[in-house]
Amino acid sequence: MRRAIALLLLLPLLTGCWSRRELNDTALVIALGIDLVEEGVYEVTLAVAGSGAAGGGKGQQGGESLPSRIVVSGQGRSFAGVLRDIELRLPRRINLTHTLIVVVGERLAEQGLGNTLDFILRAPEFRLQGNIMMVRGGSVRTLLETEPIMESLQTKALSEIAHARVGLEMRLWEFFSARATTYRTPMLPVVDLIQNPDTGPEGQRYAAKLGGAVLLRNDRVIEYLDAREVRAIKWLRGHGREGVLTVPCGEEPGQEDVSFHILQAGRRIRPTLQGGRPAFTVSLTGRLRVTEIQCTRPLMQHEVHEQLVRRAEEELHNLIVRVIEKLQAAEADPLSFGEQVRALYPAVWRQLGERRWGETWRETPVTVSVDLRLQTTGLMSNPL
Amino acid sequence: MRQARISHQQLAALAFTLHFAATELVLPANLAKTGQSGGWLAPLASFLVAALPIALMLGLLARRHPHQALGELACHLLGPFFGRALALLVALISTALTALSLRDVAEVIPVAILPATPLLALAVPFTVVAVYGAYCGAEVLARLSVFFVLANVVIFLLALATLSGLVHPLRLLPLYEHSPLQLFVAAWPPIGWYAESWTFLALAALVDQAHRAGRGLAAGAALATLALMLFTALSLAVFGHQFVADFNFPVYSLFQQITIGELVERLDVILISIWLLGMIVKTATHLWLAANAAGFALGMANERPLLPALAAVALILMALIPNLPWLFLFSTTLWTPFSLSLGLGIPALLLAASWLRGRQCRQPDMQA
Repeated sequence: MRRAIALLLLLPLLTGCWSRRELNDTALVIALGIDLVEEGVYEVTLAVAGSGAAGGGKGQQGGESLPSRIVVSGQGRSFAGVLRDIELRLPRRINLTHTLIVVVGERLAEQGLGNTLDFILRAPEFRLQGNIMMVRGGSVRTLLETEPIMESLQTKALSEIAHARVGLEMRLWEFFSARATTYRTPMLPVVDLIQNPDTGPEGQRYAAKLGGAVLLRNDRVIEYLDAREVRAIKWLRGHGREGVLTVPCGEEPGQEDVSFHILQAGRRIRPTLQGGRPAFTVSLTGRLRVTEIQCTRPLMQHEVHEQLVRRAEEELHNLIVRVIEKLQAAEADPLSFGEQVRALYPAVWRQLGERRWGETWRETPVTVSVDLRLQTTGLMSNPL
Repeated sequence: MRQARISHQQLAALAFTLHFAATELVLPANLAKTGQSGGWLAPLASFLVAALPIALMLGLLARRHPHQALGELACHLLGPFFGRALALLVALISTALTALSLRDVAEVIPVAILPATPLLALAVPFTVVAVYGAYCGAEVLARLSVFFVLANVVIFLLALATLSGLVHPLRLLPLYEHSPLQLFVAAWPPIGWYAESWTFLALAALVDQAHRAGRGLAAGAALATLALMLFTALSLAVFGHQFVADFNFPVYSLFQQITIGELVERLDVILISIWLLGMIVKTATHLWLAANAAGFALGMANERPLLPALAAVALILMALIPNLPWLFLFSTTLWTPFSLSLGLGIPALLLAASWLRGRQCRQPDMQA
């Protein structure tokens, strides 16, 4: 009886509630953007989920349409200050728990991120699972105001594209993890604001497209990569699956092409020592499916499909070599080559110097080999 | 309070909880800071330097003098004055450990799940629950600690399964950057935490088969070391040592990354709930140990009335701790040498006294 009374007395202590906030009093931020306005002054833009977000578009209430998201922005010297300033204009308290995307403006990335993103690491509500990207060709606000196709929220659309392995996906923790080292180069996927194609919502000037990426050193952009180069980076990061390789299909290379869908992609990066200095062997493997062929060559003939697969191998090999050379020229290592030397040859790593890995990487020989196999030609064997 | 008996497996689970609960969230960052990529190996050195010798010494004492807590044993071996003084020391240290555990809870919970909750609003109810736990006795706490062990095994396996795609095993190498000494520097803070186990003799005295108490303590400490190594290694293999070193609670941040589809996303809250269970057991056990020793020092037949007073002292001590950085600094600098000196010194002193007493008792027989 006494224990039961004691338990009853303890029960009210277990609610854990203090300063509760009802959902109706909360402004759920789904995307957050930061850009540089002038030296030391930042513009913070928040995309707040509106009442229409849950309904898959503009909702209706009492005859009025409810927006799927509300975009608010403010300027100031610190994120916390701007947030307070925005809260003075919002009737609800800002909640960052559901932030899916952090967008960095092009100007800020060019000038240097500095500690502008420090608040993301400190705020307990940020879970570092969201994606980070850079916007190019417009402001952060323009991107967050753009109406997406097939999704109610632009942030959702962009993260879905990234999740679908089509574009480069960079989680916040992954970005910060690379940034914490001196030898791994942080990368930011780039969202291009392009002129709106016809299929977009009426009257909208821009559409967002996930394309290339930028490499950063000392928090500044040092190199841009285009969408093709990002595909090579993705393969080297172990995410080559779902890509497409297109090569000429005629007996002599011409206008007609064959496209292969990459069903399986593997990569192995092996560090070795050559004369006391690191060298790498990159081996790529993959299985392909023919998705389209524009010429009439008999695919079922061994020589024909061997020739086409060899062309695909050569195409991929050249792309990979070109990208690695570009990375070396920029002294950028977003693919953790240095990390392998550090782990497996610590004495050599100490001798080379962690901070001088960029210079060493520039001179490091990398041998690339590609081994692709044709797995299937789809539902058709030979072309009609 | 002293009548209930526990098995050596329950003692192992209790020792695991006392060693692991607080270190789980707080220590990995420190291990990464000093041990870098090999920081995950450092708890092994701590185990060998502190936890294992202390567990073996306590086991030997429990075997030679079954069912005797530290105060009683010291009274028997060194005389009533030293016995009571030692019991008072245990009471003071266990109260301080209760305060430190309370502070850990008060620091972690607002950062993790209840940002707006004031420190005292967390600490006071938690203390009340801990007092109730201590009131129920060590046997109840030992049973509760078994759940903590099982929950940790499950959550670790879940983390391993869901985070395996993010793991970079090479981030756990090299084992040391400059010299193996680096691992011992990293092992220093866990040594301080593990050395606290000299106060657990009262728990070892509860084991029904006294000759197995040492085994229980050593197994609990070994399991806690393994768990700390695994959780630290997982954090390092995902985030890299530089990033782990920058976090306050890297294991919590690691669990924030777990998602199962788009359905299950908040496993960090489950981690915190399990951690809270462990912290309740830890705080209540330290409080029980404090009351047990204080009761002996004051010559009280029933120590339970002391629990609220000791809890209030722990709460005041907790409130005097300025902040988390101070707590880290205190744990890594002042606490370790103090704790290690007592941890190795007192059981060794008691063992020596026991050995001498044994010889003295045998000599008259031989003369006869």
